[in-house]
Amino acid sequence: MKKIKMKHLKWKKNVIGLAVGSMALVMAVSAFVWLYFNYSIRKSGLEDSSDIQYYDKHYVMIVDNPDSLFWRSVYESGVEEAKAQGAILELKGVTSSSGYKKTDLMRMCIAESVDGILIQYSGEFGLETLIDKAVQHNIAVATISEDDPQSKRQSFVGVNTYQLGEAYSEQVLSLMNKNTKKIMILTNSFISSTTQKLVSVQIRNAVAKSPLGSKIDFEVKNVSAVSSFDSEETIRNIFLTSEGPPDILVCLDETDTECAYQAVIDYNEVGQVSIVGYYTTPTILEGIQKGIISMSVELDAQQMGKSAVDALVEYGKEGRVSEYFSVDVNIITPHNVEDYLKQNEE
Amino acid sequence: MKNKKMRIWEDLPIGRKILLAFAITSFAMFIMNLFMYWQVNKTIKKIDQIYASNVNLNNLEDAFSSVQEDMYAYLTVKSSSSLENYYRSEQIYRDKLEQLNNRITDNEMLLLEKNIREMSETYLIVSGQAVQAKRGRNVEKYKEAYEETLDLYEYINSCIYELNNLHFGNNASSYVVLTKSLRLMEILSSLILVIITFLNCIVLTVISRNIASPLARLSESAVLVGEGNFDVEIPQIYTQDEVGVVTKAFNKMVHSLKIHMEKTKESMEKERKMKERELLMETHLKDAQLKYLQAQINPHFLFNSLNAGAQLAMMEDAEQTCLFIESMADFFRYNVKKVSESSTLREELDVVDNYIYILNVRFAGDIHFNKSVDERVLDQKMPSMLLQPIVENAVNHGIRNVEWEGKIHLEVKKDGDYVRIRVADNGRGMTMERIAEVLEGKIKEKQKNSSGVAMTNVIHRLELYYERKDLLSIHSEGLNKGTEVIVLLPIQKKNNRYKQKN
Repeated sequence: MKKIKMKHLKWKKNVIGLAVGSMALVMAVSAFVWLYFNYSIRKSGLEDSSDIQYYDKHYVMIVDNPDSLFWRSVYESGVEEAKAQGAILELKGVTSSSGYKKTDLMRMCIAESVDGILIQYSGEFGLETLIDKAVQHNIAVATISEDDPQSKRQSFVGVNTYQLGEAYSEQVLSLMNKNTKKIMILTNSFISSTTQKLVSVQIRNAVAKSPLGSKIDFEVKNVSAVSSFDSEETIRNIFLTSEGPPDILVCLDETDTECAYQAVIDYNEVGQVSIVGYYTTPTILEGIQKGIISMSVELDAQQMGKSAVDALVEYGKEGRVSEYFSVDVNIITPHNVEDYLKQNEE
Repeated sequence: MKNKKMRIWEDLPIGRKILLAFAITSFAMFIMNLFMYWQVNKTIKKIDQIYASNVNLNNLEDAFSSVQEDMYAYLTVKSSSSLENYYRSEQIYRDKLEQLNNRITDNEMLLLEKNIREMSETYLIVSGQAVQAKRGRNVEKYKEAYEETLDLYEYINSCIYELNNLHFGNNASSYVVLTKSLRLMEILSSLILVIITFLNCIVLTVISRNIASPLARLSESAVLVGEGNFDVEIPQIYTQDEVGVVTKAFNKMVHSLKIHMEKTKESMEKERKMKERELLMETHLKDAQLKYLQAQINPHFLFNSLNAGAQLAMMEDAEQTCLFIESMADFFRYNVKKVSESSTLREELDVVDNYIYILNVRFAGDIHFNKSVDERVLDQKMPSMLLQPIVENAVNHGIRNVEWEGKIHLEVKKDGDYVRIRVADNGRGMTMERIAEVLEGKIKEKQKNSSGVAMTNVIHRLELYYERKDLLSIHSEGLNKGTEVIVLLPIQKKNNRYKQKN
């Protein structure tokens, strides 16, 4: 009888343990279901998320090629600075999909009554009027990279064209030797407007003044992007002419630089054609590392973004701002490319 | 508190226990189902809401188109109805705009809403200006304003389109996430149902065992009791349900069975003892009969011879001799006849008289025998051959060979419910040890040779006949101070006698 009782007690204990365990399991699974459900709702964005940040000022940055790494970099540092100053920076770009020109984007900004506009001026018809109209509507306007001194814009943030021209000239002269017969400068449609023209003139003058200058054929070629793939086609054509490619190819645009780099490889002109590029995309840096691109001139994108936002903020606060914010120029060569990469990694 | 709750549960009738068990498990299932349905419903509602934002945007776009169309209609025909339409659609559009975000934020969609709202405000101002200019017939201004509204109309539409696209993309991913979570929830709810079912099984098992185990223990006990083990430890049940009632009844039953069995055993034991006593009595009688049979040859021969002697003495006119021989013959006849039957006190006294007469003839009147007898008790039944051996002992071991005059006194009288027979002599007497030996039957062997029936035999037959001891007692004040033997015969009623005979 005692044995039966003991058996009964043991059985009871086991059963109670089992029941408690199952209960815990049910609770755990239910809790998981509940948590997972709430997580899904949050993830789906249907629930009003409380982590939306509101800001005081709305700035817009209008550029030609918003997808380029350079402008991305400028925009990122601009956003960072804007957030720190209690504002947001919206990027509007001339893209093939939207079909809008800069003038359209400017009109939109005026209609939206934004607080400030950063615009890459490119000499487009009517743009200057719109800049003035925006200023009339109490919108702060700063030009970036390219300037329109005639407009009523409050400030310009970019490299001094002369300084840029000097940098390019220096590089071109250093690449020249007695075998150099032809130098070609690739300019780019609207962008070429002022800065590129000035830079190319400066390079031409520098070359002309050099001892070897008289023997060298100098050409400025506009690879204007009328349609999407024009510049690439134009650059390839340069390599296919009967005269052959130039000895030094100067690019004032990152897309042109990449196209030229690819063409040199494709037409087996490595070592024959020296490329002076613009900006530092991973492809360009790769080209420099391999020695195919001799050097690249880079504007400090981060400095540009930060300074541009600062200019708008300052104007908003003070009602006036310095007319010109200078941006540094870096020269990347095969000698310093490794250091540059290391620095960027940091 | 817990014990109290347990008591309440245990005291419930079995039917209600089963009902409660079913209710508890069903309730658990119901709650879990409710929980899962609630979650799934919530998800489905969310899914329903997903594309609501796209619908809203489409409505906004329609309202916006109406404004543009109505403005165009007014500018074209300048009718009051078209103006009314314009103001109505403008109001509708304004109402719809109210739902859009107007704060600056880093959320792409909210920022786009803000842009749409701001641009629409500008648009409405410009379109208002166009309508006003038309009313004032300022042709140049309304044309200019109209041109501007066209641009803005395009921008706003493209922004709404973009926002719609963003919402759609977002909603599509929300839809995927929600449908995925719904599917996972299906699996989990199945899992929970399985676990709950398992849990319910456990609960039901516990409850059914709770109900069945006392019954099982009871049946085990019942089997043991059925095998005759009444000392089985019966499970203690404190519950008030049917099992408790049955167990209590069973316990009572086992207890009364036990008592009944004990009583039966006792009475059987008594019966057995009685039978044993009867058997013993028979054995003793047989023993006595055997001894007499051994002696029977002589008495018969002697008896016949004595009768012949008596006739001879009569023929010779020797009266004394004839009387002696007749007394002798009577003595032996009694011995032969009465050895196996009860006799009366009268017959026993006659035998003693004959015996004394014979001895006095033998020893020339040396034995002085006298008796005092209460005549009322002469018909008292008693074992045969009882008095003669006592008197014979008084002669042989008492007064024989004493130097003084030997006397034997026999007294019979009624003493309450007894007949008191006292045989006293003034002979050699007995020590206390000797008396004890005789009464306990230890000298049986020594007396085997004696011609009379042993004293021990007398004692045993008395005990067997009356089923009690202490009917015979011996008294002596010591050596040479005589001996007194007292026999108490219980006066028996008729029934008793009948029983004894049978």
